[in-house]
Amino acid sequence: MFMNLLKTILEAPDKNILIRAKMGDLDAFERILSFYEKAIFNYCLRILKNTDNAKDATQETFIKVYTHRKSIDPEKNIKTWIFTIATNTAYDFIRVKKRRNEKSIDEKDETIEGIATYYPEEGLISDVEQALDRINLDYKNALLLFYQQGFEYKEIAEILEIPINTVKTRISRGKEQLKEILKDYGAN
Amino acid sequence: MEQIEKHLKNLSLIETPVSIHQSVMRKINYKRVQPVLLTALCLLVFNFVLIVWRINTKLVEAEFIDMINDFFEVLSFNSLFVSTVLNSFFEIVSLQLTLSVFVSLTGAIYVGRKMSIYKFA
Repeated sequence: MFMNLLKTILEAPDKNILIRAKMGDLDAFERILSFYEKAIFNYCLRILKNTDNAKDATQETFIKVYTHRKSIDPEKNIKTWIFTIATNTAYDFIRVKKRRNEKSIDEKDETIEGIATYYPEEGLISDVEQALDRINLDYKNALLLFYQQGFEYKEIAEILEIPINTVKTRISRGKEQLKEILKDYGAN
Repeated sequence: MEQIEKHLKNLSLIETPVSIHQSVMRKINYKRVQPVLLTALCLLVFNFVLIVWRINTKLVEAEFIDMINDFFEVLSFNSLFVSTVLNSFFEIVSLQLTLSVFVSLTGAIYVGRKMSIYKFA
């Protein structure tokens, strides 16, 4: 745990890397990419529930990061900015998919077994993970950012472009929904 | 609720497919090269236009449209000539024979290249 934390701190892109990336240095950008790609891919996968779409969304996110590199503020946390782009990109994917009249991504009828197809190596998937796929997308998003990615309320508010109180409400309601679904699991 | 929070903090993470990293870097490299390619293409087009204009103005009594017509006439004559030669060729020599010659030649070149790579003691 401590080693992981230390590794994260040591490998995190520092101010110098961010300045270089802003100037268009490809090596610096690659370091940012290497550091955040796993988090972004897993986040997109949880939202989009499809490996191919998650791959595309991750790629598009980092291409947008590179294209808009001039907006990088070395004084600020770049993770928040990258997640803002990733969230918007993932939502764009959902919108496009809905427009194409394909099966909606956040529909309630999405089978709970679906998670096993995009987390095939994980073996037994916990009830919480399965239940997470069945709750409202906005609530799920807030829960993922808060618990999985470790963002603070203020940062989540910035990423989702909503007030802090709404973030708190979404997290609380998300947990309530999870609890309700898990009760059903227990009943079955 | 605490159990739920504990699970949420430890959600499964899967490794990123390698193709994502490579694909992003390839696209970004392309983005960087794109202006250079565009400039090169523009220069080529500019050169072509300049040469055409130069020929058009300098050639005595040669109209540009006439030159284009002449070009297409020669081109059609050439293609007709080539197709006639090819047809006559395949009438004399069968297609299978030509293919076998081609395959043999390719094989000979391949073997020759391989032999030149190996150093015989």
